[in-house]
Amino acid sequence: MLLQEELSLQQKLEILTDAAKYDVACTSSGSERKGKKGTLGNTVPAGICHSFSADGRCISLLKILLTNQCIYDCRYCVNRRSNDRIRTAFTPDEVCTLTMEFYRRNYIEGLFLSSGVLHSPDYTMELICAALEKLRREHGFRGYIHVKAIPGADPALIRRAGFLADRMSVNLELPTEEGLKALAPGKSREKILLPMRQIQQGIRQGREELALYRKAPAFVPAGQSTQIIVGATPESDYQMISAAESLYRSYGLKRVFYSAFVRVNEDRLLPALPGGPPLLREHRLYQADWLLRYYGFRAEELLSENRPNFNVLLDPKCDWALRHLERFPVEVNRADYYTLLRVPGMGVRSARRIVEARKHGALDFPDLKKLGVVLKRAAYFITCRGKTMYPFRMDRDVIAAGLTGEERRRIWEINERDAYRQLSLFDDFHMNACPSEEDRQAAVWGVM
Amino acid sequence: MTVYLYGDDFEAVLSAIYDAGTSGMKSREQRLELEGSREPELFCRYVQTEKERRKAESVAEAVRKKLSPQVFRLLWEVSLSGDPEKGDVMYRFLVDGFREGPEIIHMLTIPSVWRMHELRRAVFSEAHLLTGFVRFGRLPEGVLAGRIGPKNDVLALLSEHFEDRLSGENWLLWDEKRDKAAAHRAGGETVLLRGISEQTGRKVREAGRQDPFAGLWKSFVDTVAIKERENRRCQMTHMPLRYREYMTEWQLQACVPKTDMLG
Ligand code: SF4
Repeated sequence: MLLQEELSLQQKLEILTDAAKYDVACTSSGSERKGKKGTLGNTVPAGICHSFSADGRCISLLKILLTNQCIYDCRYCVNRRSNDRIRTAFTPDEVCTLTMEFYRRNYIEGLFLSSGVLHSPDYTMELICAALEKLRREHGFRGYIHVKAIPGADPALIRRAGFLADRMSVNLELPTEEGLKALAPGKSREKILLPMRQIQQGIRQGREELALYRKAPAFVPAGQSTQIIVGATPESDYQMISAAESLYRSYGLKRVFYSAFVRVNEDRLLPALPGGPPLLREHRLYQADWLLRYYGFRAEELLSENRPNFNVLLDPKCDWALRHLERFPVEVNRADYYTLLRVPGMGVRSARRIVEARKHGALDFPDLKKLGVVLKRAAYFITCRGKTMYPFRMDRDVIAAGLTGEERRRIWEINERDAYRQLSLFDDFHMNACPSEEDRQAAVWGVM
Repeated sequence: MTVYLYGDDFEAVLSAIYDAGTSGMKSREQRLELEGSREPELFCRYVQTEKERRKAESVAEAVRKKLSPQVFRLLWEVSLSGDPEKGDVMYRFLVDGFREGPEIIHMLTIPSVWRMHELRRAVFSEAHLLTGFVRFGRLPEGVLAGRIGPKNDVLALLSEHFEDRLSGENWLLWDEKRDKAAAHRAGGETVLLRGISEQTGRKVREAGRQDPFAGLWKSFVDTVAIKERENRRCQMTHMPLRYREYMTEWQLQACVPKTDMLG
């Protein structure tokens, strides 16, 4: 297919944004780099949202593809070879102009550069490196850069990119080998995991060097992330979060993103999804992911071979608590931090505040409310000075009925797309922060 | 009840706290009130406090010594709040603070302490939102110009942020509600200005519309949304209307009209 070069910058921007939008990662957190006198850009650990698109997602980075041309034919992807679409590519200069000018006007935190595979992985990765080098060296850009590592590219090229970027990612896309085989001919788990391992080792090595010589250049300082598509293949939630857990553990990933499958291609191997993208399922996976990362839960505590999918009516934490009533109620004035964290309706912040505040006197229910505890949920699982908030029977069905009443309304909202998963996600975990802030929350509270 | 009226800046609030604190009256018999924030009440004695550096310094000194520098920083941050109750909250917090000592800052179950933290949080969350929502437009003269109208007085916090970030640029950020501005020279210092001329104000207002990159940005924002996941309500929750009038992508019309937003 021929690359169209005679397009205006505006047309290219539209085409290459449209082709990039299914990658859900748009956070700019996890990296701290001060500005430098006379230049442009810095990064802040909290990450910043600059706008919100019509689907309610945070816009933080200029998320574009270098090219939407691709030699592969992944069935779920708009850019697959067999699709009849206009193909184009940015020149490195165009990428620099857009990034610099958008950044100056405070439209963005930086650049998220991804790409289809043009000619070969090496050829593409080389182009990506050239664009980033230009941006960092010629233009002195110090803002945030997230870049894709193209599986199959020469490790030397991936390394080069890693010294220019803040974050790198390789998308796993499908959590099992079978899934990949079915939908992504030309990809394999092994091929995807290889660059991930390389980046992980680069990060580790970089940290050691940084400890030795303070001036060593940083390698992927904001860590690496990946994306898993939800609902394109028949994998269970258990398989999804187990995959995520092992990526966190064995590959040191910073984030796993879940992306409800949007059916962009007609293909008999793709599920029909008459109800639209599986947003509720995606929402539950994000909730569970938080529990894995910040609350000390393990995947097999949440789900198992016999119970492979999340309850649609209850969030994973409430669901877990209901199955472990023998551990409740806990006494707020005595329970340790980790025990508090497991109480539904309590978040990292409120648990911290409780531990701090109770040093100065015993806490009661009205105090908890001030400290950010959601009593509607927590009430069933705690006592203050030996008393429950109101009398009730410690019985699964009674509590479940109380909890699901509230949850039903929210599920209805998600299904009606009247609420936004990350909005309610923050609600669940009592954070008044914007979606890209999770890494800062972690850093602030020391629960990385 | 004696009411101490104060003007809207840090020194003025501290002066009022000084007056209240040295009056010899009990704290429950007096309160602080921001000038013009309420109708006068019967049976109250109103005292107009004189803002004086000497009084402010004296309170500052006592806070730093007997409490801590962090408590002092907290006072400053809360003084940026747009909540007219802030002066009274700060006063009650100090009354409690001088009783409890430096640990006061952690005693969230005391109402004044809780209120302080809430006000501070509101200041910081608005400042944080604005670090993302501020839009600069290139003026024909080459300067990047931006405009805000925040609830809290966050200009100082924002200019610290942009001073580091846009160090190599000439920029001007104007709080049109308080008519204050921060101006930065490329590679140089940032200065806070007490106001800008009407003509400059007009130019700043127009800046976003004339800029050729504004159109590119708008088409990026429109294109990046996934239509199968459209969720205007959520977009609305994250990006309240009061910020939008300042944002390039909402100013350029062809943009979705507000009625559509309300569904
Ligand atoms: S390699 Fe990437 S861009 Fe190419 S078809 Fe597969 S998913 Fe799409």
